[in-house]
Formats: sequence, structure tokens, C-alpha cells
Amino acid sequence: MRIQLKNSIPIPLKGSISADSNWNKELEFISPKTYLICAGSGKGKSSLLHMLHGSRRDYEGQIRIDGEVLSEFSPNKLAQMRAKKMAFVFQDLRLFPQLTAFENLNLLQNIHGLELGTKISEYAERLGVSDCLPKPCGILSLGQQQRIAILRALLQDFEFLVMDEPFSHLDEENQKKAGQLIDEVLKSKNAGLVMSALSENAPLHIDERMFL
Amino acid sequence: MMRKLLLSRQKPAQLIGSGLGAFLGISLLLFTLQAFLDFKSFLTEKEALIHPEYLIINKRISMLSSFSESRKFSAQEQNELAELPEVVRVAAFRSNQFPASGSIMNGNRGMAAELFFESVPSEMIDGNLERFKWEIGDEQLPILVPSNYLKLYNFGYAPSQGMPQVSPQTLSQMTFRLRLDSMGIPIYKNAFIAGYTERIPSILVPDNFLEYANQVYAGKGNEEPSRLLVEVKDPSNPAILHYLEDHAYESNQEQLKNARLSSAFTLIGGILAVIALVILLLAFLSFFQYTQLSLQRNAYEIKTLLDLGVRPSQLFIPFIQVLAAMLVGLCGGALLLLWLCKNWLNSAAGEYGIALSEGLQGGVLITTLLIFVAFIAIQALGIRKGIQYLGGYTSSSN
Repeated sequence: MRIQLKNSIPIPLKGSISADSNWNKELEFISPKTYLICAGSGKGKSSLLHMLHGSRRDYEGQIRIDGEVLSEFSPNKLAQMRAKKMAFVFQDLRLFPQLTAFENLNLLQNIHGLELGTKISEYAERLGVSDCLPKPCGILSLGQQQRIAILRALLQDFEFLVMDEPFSHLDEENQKKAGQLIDEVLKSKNAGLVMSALSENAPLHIDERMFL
Repeated sequence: MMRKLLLSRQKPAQLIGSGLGAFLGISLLLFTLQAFLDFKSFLTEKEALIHPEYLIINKRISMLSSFSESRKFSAQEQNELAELPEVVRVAAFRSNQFPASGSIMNGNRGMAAELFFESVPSEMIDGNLERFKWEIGDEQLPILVPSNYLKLYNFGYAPSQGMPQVSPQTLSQMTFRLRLDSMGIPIYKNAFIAGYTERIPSILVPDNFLEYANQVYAGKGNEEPSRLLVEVKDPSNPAILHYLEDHAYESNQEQLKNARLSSAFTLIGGILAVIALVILLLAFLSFFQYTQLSLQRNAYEIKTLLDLGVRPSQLFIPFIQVLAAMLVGLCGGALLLLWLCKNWLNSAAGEYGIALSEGLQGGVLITTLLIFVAFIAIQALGIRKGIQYLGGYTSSSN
């Protein structure tokens, strides 16, 4: 999968970017490479990832996904891209608090007809959230919810995994476990990664670091 | 699981309220329609029984018109009437232009009376016309009399005068003596009763006889008629009634009462239908608001599911399924209630000897289907737009 950005910039950031920023230039993300987007708060990390995901449209410039202009995707085509090519870990997690952790993980299997087998319990075991599976997500801690959100993304089909500050609520030990699992899954799927973080350090393999 | 997710935040109270409103609106509309169609079909059957398609019309007689020509129908007026879409054909009543009298003898007693004749084309007369024929040179003249005249004689005149009652068959075999006055010269002819008519309350002779006799005995052509026999498609059609009223024409036909009844019923039915439609519209509006509110209540779920790659159509289906299931229940309930009431009404009407049509009218079922389709189509558009708005595909949900 190939994602190209040409002179793209979120409209709210116009006029407030520094000369050395990567905004408003040509950028490219090619799977299976892994990218880390580093920047301080308010520099547009989340905006960039949401632009790639097609959920943010208030930008100038052009984004192409495998050569096609993203802003011209129909709702169904966008849905297909999100279901099959691009998994996303949202900064605000976007879990369903009224469903159990297991139901949250199993939901996409139901909707997209995925064959997950024992992957849910295996992955949950790896990240130490097995006990959380029968509990409603609404009562889990933020750290537990963050791990469930990472698992939900890893369980679906994708060519690029996009993660928006995915370890912000995890301690070092749990970051390491999550990083290892993500590395393995990326390798097994031959998929790429675009991840945002406040710092350059990441608990998983990164090919390229970009600064906004 | 997606349905559980999307429908978990629903508040049933408003849905129940909207459902009750819609049930009331649908029921009232279907009741009105069924009653209207039943009434129309009842009138049609009744009219078929009493030769409904013929009206005898004349101009209203006033002080001024009594001796004037204005009580007669001009050729233009006849043509105008014949060209109405509700009219099949128009025939003029021809009347005798010469004095005539008739006498009958029974032993040494007899009776005589001044007579008048009328004629209309034979194809517009009811009854057996086998003997109702006349050719130039025939000595005997066939006459048709209204059945009521015989009853009037048998039960009115005969008992009071000490005359015997007669059967239709006996009367048909008797011969009358006619005296026709041909410009002062009496001409005598024999006449006999060739049959009876229910449709036309007049003494009828063959049309070709009266045409001949008016020319030969009165020396006159045929005058413009003062009465017309009009064949109509549907005498309960208020358009006929309105036409007659607008032109100051009169008809003593029973079926025009039906037209007045039909007019009144159409008006009442129309008012009820408008009330039903307003209730239905308000209920559907309430449903529409409820659906839009449901989408807003589930905005987080819908937006998240779209972000996770769920197609908008996959989200659309659970909402439509719930609404369709509810509407099937409401329409089915309204039809069931209507059917039960109809059965009860049929048996109640049967006790008074009124036979209403069996079962529900086709128009009622088609209307139910149309309500269902219209409701689902409008809701589907609203839900689709709402989902697209939440997914960020459009800028406004309205």
C-alpha cells in the first residue's frame, strides 16, 4: 500500500507552521515500512493520521492511496479501505463501553466475517488483559482499554496500521509487550505502520522518523 | 451484536406514542376508505336492481314557463346533454299532437277517457316487446302501460266503481276502442295492451306510429320534446345531479336520491379522510423525529463503526428493519381491527336486510401498501442522510 501526500496541510494549521515542518511538502508512506511521526502537542500529529484515514477532510493539498485521490472515495470505498487495508488505533480509543472487552474485539469479526479462531484469547494473554475480556469496557482502566483498542486493530485485516499515541496510558513493561506483539503481527501480515508519539523513542521497530 | 449496539440507547416511550398515533391515523384512514367503497358498491348493486341507468328528465315548471316554449328541450340542449361524459345516450319523448280518447266495454258497462300517448325508441324500453310492433296499414295498435297503472286500476278505480279486477294476462287479451281526431274527423282504431313497463311512467305506443300519426292526423311535424329519456353510466355520480340542478332540470328518479346521498357521503368521507391524513402525517413526523433523535443518541456508535470500516448501508439496515417490523404490526393491526369491525357490521346490517360486500376492499389493501412504502421510503431517506452526516460525508443532516 502506498500513501502519498502532496502539499497537504490542515486548514486550521495554515500560517502557524515553522519552515522546517513536513507539512505542505511531499510525503510518502509505503508498506511494509514503519514510520514514527514525532512532534509536540498541537503540531497536528492526530490531524495527519485522521487525514490518512479519511475521517478528516478540512485540509488543502492532495492525499493519494495507491494512486487514487482519497477525497474522492465514496463512503463504501472508504469503508472498504478501513476494513481491509488500514487499521486504526484512536487516541481516544473509541471502544464501546456498553459491550464487554470480548464483544468489542469480536465485533469486527461479526461485521466483516473474519475468522479469528483463538487469536482473541491468545493476543489478550500476551498483553495481560485476559481477565478483562468478560467485563464491560466502560469499567476497565484506561491502560486496559488502550490495550483492548490495540488488540482490536491488530485482529482486523490491514496493510497499514495507523496508531495515534497508542502507549500514552501504558507503563514501560506493557509498552514493551505491546510493541513486540505489534512487530510480530506487522511481520506476519507484511504490513506497514504509521505511528504518532510525543518522543522519538518507541517500543517497536521503526524504519523512519518524521518531524512535524 | 451491531443491532444491540445501535438500539441500546432507544427510549421506547416516544416510539409507543408515535406508534399509537400512526395506528389511529392508519385505522381511521382505512375505515373511511372501506366505508366509502362499501357504500359506493352498495349503491351500484341497488341501482343495478332498479334499472339505474335511465333517467327521465324535464324542465322545472314555473309560473312563467307553463305556457311557453322554454319547457321544451331544444336540439342544442339535447346535444349538450348527450355529450356529457357520464351520458350514454339521449332519446326524446314524442307525444301525440292530436286529440285522442279510448273506451272499453264490459257487458253493458263501459268506461271512456281522454288519452295521451308518448313514444321513445324501442331499444330504450324494458320488458317483452314481441307484440309491441306496428306497420302502416295495421288496424290494431299495440300499447305499453306502466305496471303501476294496472295496480292503480285494480286497487283504486275498480273497487270504487264496482268493476272487476283484472290480471295482466286478461287485460292483454282485451281490445280497446281508440278515437283519434284527425283535424275534426274521427278515426277509430282498435288497441291492445302489448306489455308493461317498469321504467317509463307513461302510455307508450310504437315510435314509428306516433311519427306517422302526428304527420297524418295532426298535419304537424314532430315538436321539440318536453321530456327526455337519458341513459347514464352511473346515476349516483354527483356530476349528473349537479348538471341537472345547474340547468333547472328535474328528474323524479330514485337514483338521484342516491346521487345526493353519494355527494353527502363523499363530503363526509373526504373530511374524515383529511382528518385521518393529518393524524397520519403528524404521527409519521413524530416517527421521523424519533428516528433522527435515535441517530443522534447513537452518534458515537455510528461514527465509530463507520471509522472501523462498517459500510453506511450496514448501519442503515437495523434501523429500517425495526421500523418496518413496527409498521407491519401497525398496518396489520389496523387491517385486523377493520376486518373484525367489518364482520360485525355485516352481520348487523344483515339483520336489517342490507347486504354489504364481503371482506376488505382491494382499494383498502392497496392504500395500506402505499402507506407502508411511502413511510419506509421517507424514513430510509432520512436515516441515510443522518448516517452520512454523522460519518462526515455531508455537511448537514437536513
